[in-house]
Amino acid sequence: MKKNYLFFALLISIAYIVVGVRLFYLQVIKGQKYYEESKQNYTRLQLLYPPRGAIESSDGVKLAYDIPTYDLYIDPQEISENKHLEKEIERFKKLFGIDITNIIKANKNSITPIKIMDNLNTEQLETFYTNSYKFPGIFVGIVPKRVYPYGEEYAHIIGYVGLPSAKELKEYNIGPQSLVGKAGIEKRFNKYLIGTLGYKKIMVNALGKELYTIDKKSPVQGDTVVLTINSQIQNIVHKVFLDSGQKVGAVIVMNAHNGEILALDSFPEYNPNDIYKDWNKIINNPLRPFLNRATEAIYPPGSVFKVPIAIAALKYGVITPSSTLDCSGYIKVGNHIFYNWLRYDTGYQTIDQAIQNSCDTFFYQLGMKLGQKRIYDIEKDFGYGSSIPFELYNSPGFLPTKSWKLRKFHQPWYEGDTVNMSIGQGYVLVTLLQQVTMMEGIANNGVIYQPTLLKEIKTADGKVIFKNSRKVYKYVKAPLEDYSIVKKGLREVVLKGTGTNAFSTIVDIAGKTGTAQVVFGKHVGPNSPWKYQPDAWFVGFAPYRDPKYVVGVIVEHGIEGNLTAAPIVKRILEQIYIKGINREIN
Amino acid sequence: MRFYVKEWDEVILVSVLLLYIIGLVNIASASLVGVAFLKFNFALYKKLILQVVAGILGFLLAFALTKFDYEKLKNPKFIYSIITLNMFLLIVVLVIKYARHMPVNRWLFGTSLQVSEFSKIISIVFLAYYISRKGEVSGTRELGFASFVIALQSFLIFLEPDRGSAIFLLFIGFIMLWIGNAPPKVLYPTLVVFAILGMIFLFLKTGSNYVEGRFVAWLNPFAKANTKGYQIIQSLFAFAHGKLLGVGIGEGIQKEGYLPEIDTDYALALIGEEWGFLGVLFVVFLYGGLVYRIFKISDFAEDTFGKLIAFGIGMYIAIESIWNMMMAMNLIPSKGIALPFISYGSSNLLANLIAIGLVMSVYRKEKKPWKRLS
Repeated sequence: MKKNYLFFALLISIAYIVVGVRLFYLQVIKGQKYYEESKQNYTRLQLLYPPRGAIESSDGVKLAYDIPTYDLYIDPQEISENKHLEKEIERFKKLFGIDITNIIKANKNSITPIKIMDNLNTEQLETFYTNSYKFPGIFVGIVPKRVYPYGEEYAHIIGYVGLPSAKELKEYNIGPQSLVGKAGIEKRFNKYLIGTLGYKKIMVNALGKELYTIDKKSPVQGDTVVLTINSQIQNIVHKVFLDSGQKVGAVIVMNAHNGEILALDSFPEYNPNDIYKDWNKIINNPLRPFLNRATEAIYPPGSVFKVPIAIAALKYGVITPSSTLDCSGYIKVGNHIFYNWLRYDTGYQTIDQAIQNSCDTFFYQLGMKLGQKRIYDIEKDFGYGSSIPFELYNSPGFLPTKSWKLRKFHQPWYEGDTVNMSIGQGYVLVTLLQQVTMMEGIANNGVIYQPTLLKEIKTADGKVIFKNSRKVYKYVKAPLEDYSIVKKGLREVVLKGTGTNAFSTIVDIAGKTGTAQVVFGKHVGPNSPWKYQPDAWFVGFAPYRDPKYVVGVIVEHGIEGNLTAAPIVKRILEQIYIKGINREIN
Repeated sequence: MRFYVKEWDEVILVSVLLLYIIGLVNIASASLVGVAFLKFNFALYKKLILQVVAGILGFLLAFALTKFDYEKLKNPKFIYSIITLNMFLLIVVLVIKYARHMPVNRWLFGTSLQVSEFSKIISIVFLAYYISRKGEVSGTRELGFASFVIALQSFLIFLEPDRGSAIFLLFIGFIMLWIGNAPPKVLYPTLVVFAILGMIFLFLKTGSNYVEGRFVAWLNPFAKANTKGYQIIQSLFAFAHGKLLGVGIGEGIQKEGYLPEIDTDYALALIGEEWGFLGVLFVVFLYGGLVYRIFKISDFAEDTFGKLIAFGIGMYIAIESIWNMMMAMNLIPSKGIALPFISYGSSNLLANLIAIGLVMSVYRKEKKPWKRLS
């Protein structure tokens, strides 16, 4: 026995030594490495999402803000450890009428809390809180949700938000649940609105339950963006356009004193609150609600285009205020005939009369006298043909040049092209914003303040971090008398010319109608289909003697400027004065 | 020649007490996770209280056994009745298991009495008796019968199923025969039969227990990190977290649900995490000293029966502790065996303390010539 005994004693000693050596290896040599590997097990980084900054109108109405929504979650520990889970599910069903068995079953092995109900209303929330002692493993989670209280009304200004794309995740310091702006002001000022992400580093047990906090950084709410929009005017614009019976178009109301946009709307609208619910409906709508017709859509400018040409003609001395030209039914250029919109001779007219009657043949002659170059220059000076520095994306539109035509069609520039261009037909394409900007220049005798939507940016607790100030975008130099003549013409348009539907006894409106053909080579009459009808413009300012507002309206397929666009402008301006909003605006 | 007469061996007493206290601290640390001590809650303190009660009971039993003359055990009536009772209880456990269609049942009276823990001690005494009943070594037939009884018990335990204990019993049985100088006629067939049984117990598929999965997990636990390798990885992480000096008692993180069985099979991992390398080394040192003293007692015992009892118990504690420690450190594939005196489990603690009582009883009757009194 002695021998065997020693053998075992030796074996056991070796075994204990092996254990000791292994321990040394595990704890001292490999310790740090294994520990680093295991660390991610214990600690969890919770992102604390800040509320997104609000968007306000200049008169302090909140147009977009975050509200907390309440979701119910169940703790996975509850599922694995509660013996009375079935009873709890039963009780839950009785209280809320929802069977959560399947949700729990599907997520049985989840280590993160499982969402069992979302978007609780006040009543449900109250029910839960009064009965919460019956549901030990169920708790309320709070998620911010973006709310647009005015829905469709501001869709084309504010845009909407969505979950971030991979690119946006990299670009901003945000988490996967952060909402980022996808369009409009939400997108343009996303950087300010998004806020600063906070985090909480916690120690968790194996089931993911929080033990204690290691490190915490509170989130900072995003900045508030204050727009120049006046909520009352925006509301007027929204209502007036919809009440006019028109479906497609856009309206811009601008403060002529500083270029601030007081209202901007494009129709049809969409509801940014339900954007993802209605997504397919919106993108399949042939009227394309996502297109911002105030800034993005491009149209032929129609007769509105004649206004800068009148300025140029006076400025370059092609015509004097008192000289007259024949407003014949048509003129012949080469062997091509260009008609007036009235196909009979209305006699000799001065330039303000020609504006009043929107005489095409008069402007054909002016155009030919000025030449393509000077037309191009004056229109460019008034802001056509290039993107305006603006908070929303806006198209540059198009102004044709001689070299462009040669490149594109391998044809020289004909006199007929100049004739066409002088009444806003041909290749010219503009946006509503450009039309309004041009009219601002007329109203201000050549000074064009840069159109803007941004008033200021302030932190959530009200400290102003950026204040926008008025900037001169362009100055079109011409004698003051020239502007007076043109403005007189624009006033006469409303008084006795082509835009009498914009005449108001409340406010003196001046402006120019426009009717732009959308199909060519086809006779379009009152009985033609809607989509062949010309687009209707009215761009004007008021009051005539001291311009304060510039209003532009486009009605797609609106038949005639005076018929559809002019009444809208009139009603909007009248409402502004009737409701006394006028006094609130400087 | 005068002999030193002493009832107690201090080394054994101190080691066992220290191990038991370390065990208690461990259980307290594991079960009172993140709880204010002020608020008494029986469910939380249950394990600790049970372990304290079992410990007190066990130490009282051990004292009683120390005073008891172990040679009185060398009595056929006693031996047969205790082994029969043991077999009977094992069968009762199985009857309960099959009657109630339980996948696993190792206990009587709810989960309070784990019969297989006592079977190990009873088998050691039984073998010691059979080997030494006719002087130095008993005859072939008797030894054959004894091995058969061991194999049968092992089989019953396997059916529970408790593969670890079943294999452990075969192992200790064979070592007892070998150390008891059993004749080759018995020894080799027993070796073959026990080896085959052991293999069957280890590899037979029953229910959801896939042994080969454990082997794969043992070879590379990180490849099966979410299934079989999970426990091993968490155990290794616990040791790694502890490093040289440990994170401090009660400060461990692995007990927060990361490492299952942290107060039983993987108790050493918690010690490793909270007490560090030096703490575990101290535990290993305690086991080493304990086993050394028991072997020494075996060496100086008056008769073969006493020698075999002490040796068997020494082997039993040595194998159990080494097995468990190696398992926790992924040196061998995992198979549940408790860490003596430390793991939570009243049956295991009681059985171990009874075993220590028996060893003390052997010691008390010894002449102690190496400590001469002048």
